[in-house]
Amino acid sequence: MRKYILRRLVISVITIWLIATCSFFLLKALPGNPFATQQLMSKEMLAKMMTYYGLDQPRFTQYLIFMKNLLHGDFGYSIKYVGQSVNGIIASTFPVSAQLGLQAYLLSFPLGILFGIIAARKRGKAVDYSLVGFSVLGVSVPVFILASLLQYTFAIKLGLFPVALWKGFSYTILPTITLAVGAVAGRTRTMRTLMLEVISEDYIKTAKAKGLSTFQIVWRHQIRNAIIPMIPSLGMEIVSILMGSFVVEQIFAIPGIGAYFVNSVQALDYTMTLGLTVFFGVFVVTANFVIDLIYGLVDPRIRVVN
Amino acid sequence: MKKSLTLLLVMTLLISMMTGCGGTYQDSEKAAETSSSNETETTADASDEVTLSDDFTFAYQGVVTLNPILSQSGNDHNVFYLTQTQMLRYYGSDLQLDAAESYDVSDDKTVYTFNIREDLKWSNGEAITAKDFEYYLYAMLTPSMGSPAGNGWFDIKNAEAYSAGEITDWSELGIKSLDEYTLELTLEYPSDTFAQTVGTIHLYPLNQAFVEEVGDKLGSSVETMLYSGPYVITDWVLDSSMELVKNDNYWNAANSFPTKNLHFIEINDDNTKVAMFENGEVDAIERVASQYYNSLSDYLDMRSGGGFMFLWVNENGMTDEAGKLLSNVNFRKALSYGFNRIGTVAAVNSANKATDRLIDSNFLAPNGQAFVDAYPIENAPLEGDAAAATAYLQKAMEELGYADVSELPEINIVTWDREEQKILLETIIDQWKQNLGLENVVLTQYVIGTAIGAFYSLDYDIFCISWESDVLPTDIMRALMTGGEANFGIWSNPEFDALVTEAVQTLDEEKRAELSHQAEAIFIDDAGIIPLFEQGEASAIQSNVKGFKMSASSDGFQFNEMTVEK
Repeated sequence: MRKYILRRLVISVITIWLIATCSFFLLKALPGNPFATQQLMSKEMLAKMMTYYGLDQPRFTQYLIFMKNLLHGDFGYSIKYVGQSVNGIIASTFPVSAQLGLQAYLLSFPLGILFGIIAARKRGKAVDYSLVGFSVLGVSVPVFILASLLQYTFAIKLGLFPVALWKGFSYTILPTITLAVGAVAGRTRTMRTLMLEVISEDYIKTAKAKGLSTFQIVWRHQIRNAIIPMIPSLGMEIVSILMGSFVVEQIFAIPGIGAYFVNSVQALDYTMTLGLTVFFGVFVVTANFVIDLIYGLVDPRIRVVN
Repeated sequence: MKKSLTLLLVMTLLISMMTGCGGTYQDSEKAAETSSSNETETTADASDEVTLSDDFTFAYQGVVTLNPILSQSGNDHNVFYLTQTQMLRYYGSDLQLDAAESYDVSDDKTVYTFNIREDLKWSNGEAITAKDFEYYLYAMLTPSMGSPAGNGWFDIKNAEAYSAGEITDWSELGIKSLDEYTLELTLEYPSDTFAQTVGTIHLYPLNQAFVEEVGDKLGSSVETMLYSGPYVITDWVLDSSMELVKNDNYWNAANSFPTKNLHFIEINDDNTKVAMFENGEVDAIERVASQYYNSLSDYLDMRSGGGFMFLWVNENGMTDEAGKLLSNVNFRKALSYGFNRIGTVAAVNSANKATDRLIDSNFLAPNGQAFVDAYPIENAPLEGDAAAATAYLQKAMEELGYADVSELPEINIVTWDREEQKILLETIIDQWKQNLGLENVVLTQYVIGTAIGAFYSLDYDIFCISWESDVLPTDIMRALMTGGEANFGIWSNPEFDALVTEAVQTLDEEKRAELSHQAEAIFIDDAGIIPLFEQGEASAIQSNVKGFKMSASSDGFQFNEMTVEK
């Protein structure tokens, strides 16, 4: 087990280094400069700004400076948001996105599993059809339509919830539901399929033959085996959920991290983009690392093979 | 139990989807109805006591930084109008005294002396003196402090040379604090409009000790900034919200800025913004997207000017053939006459104002008329003239040896990737197709950084760009002359340069206007700029808000006289 962990750790670190390096050179390859976004300036002024931010040095020198700062965990200052450190912006916006994502996840995970189980158990009946129908809808309807719809119906017309902003728990309800619907829908389908696969396995037949009650079969054997294939995908799901949905945050005016991902590249804000990319990269790598560990724990067969 | 729960959920979703469709227009009409009935109510009750609210909630465009030295955005200066005092300040088109009690101009118009009020205070209690204003100019002009906007002050003696590093001794500049409350500015050449420049590009105070203490972090948060204006910022969440509270230490607190608490929120989604406005959660919106002009028509406050959009033609072209075509005056005239500016503006954004001039229609001639009326120029009529355009095109084709429009080389119009730009240019290209039969014009849109990069490196045939009008008609011309800020080697005309240089240095108003007029005429013909419209925007204001003011020609949330009725 220890070798397993160690090897995964080394690979993780190398991956992060690769992410940082590739992002840096890809970003620098983009034409234009970060100062041209607000208004035109004379060539002399542009040259001055480039020098001020160290952007006139040879690319490899800039890369070395970037890596050195990175090792100290310093992402530098944003070029667009003058005076704001990238670390500071991430520190203030990531918790907001994370809270939204976590709430959506905590809502969608059990609900999706539950619906999947119900649909599988009541296969062929009305419940199954409506759940499958709901999950197809939930997956197909684009997030921005759902967000606008929920906002319009429950906040504007019915006045049950605030329209936008992020000032208290009631502000989080509509955005959470918006994000959760898609996740629930997807998970319902997956869980249903997995449950139905498992049901035809031999050990279920054995359990029935042994005389176990339906509940015991479902709880002890069916669910556990069905869930296992879902675990690896959890890693990426967590990441995408925690990293903020740009669209939902935009529509509900939530001060999350999503907007910065999109806008920093357009603005060619090098420091911000690189900081966010590396942050995101570290997150993905860490999440996958943890999930790999969990997977190893949950399914002993994996450990043995390794 | 589980069954009915899931069924209930499904039904709710389906029902809400159905109620969702169909109802937007009716609702906004309803909102308009109830509000206009509010309007009649308040006028009927005008005789009764009107209670004023202490709070104003405003959907603003957001700020990037509170640091006036490094700020590159007019949005930031809109807030600075409220949080900093200025030597002279515009309220609409009126130039007012703010930090300055009075100012004197020497007889030869080269020395401006500002007498500063003696009771001004920073938010940390320290007094504001002439040194603070001197330090601001120092920070704007010193190369190592990295300001991108110092060039606004190049009218001051030796400022340009200092900014370029040619002079290193600050005392050689025409900026002197004669005593604690007197600032003397000496100009490079005589000018009787420098006061207007001061009001337009803003002369704020800056506390040197504070700046040196805070360093790079200046203006990045509430604590890393000092305030000297009518309001103090008490909270600021980047890209989200800002809270301002009236500053009782402001010298004119008793007689201006009556609303006590300002709540600014930044909402990037247009739909959400308008929904909150119609819900009454927001008292005003700074900028309304043009697709909502109809539904919010009762609440709109439109303003235009201060900048305009034009097509800048690269006579060198991206290819030799294109270059020859674009260098031909008749071809350019064909393009300019070949579309209807008024119709185009109405289709794209009705807050904009069609124009075929280089000079902002807000500028006044010496005789008090609008400059553009007193000094007309022969240029394309605003409705377009398809017949004239076709004639010009024919002439151009004859001169260049093309028998048919299909032989013309490809022309690339480049601009950045905003939706409005796309609609604007596609509308114009379509009109050229209809009126002139041109099929060779192609629109290319880039992400803004790349687009501007293309502008610098002359990688375009035509560029659709906007520019600010600043203080005087000649300001934009200075930017466009050889070596000017906007001219990256694309065009040079010594006669134009001479006229503009002379105009800038002339004190005689009439002569200056005449020279500007001549320069404009040369430019329109020779440089190949095709003006499109003066930029405009619209705010939405609830009917219980009185005295809301923003101006196209000057920055600032000009809430000097704004009240919110309960």
